Amino acid sequence: MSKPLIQIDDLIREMTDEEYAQYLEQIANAPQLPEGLDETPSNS
Amino acid sequence: MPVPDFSPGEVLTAAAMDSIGLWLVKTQTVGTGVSSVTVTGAFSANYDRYRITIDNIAASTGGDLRFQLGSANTQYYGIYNYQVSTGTTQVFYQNNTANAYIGGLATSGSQGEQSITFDISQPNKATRTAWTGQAFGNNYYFNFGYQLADTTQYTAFTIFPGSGTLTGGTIRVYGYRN
Repeated sequence: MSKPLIQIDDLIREMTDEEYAQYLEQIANAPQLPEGLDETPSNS
Repeated sequence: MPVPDFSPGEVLTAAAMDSIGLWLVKTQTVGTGVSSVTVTGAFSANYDRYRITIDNIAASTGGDLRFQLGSANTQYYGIYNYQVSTGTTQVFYQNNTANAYIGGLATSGSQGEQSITFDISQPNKATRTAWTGQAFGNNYYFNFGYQLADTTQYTAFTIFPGSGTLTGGTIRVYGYRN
């Protein structure tokens, strides 16, 4: 399975194993999303 | 020189150029389907304060965009709030988090509606770094203010979505003349 892509300036590459482990940890420990932020509200 | 007094055909001197108040330090275009974007060489001893603008990024899923200085993944303290056109207001107090929120992301169908502007003070000095800004994205309006409570001298920053990937858009870093 391919790992997520990261960009450093103009270089785009797959994460290394170490970067991927940090990425998973970061997601797991991230503060909770503001409620409803993933929804697009209506304009009415 | 309180105001520029350039005239057509004039040879610009170093002194005149050095008096320009806001200088574009770096422009970075965001690639396709990336989970993070690191901008290196953004901060230096040349400027104390910087303006960062982020426009037209499309996300694979709507959500928040986050900001990290260097590899610092702790000690972010701040207040982040947003308003929605439907009247909802939310305030979030963030204490010792792993990164900072800097706004919302539009999905690819509404890419042009995403805009972030913030000023960051002293990221390259051996003191705490603070920033304040505003953003619009995904029909949400955001205000935020943060500090990173360490004294590391940073030269780079990274943005990344809370989930999914980023595509397109432009990041610009400007330095304010000291």
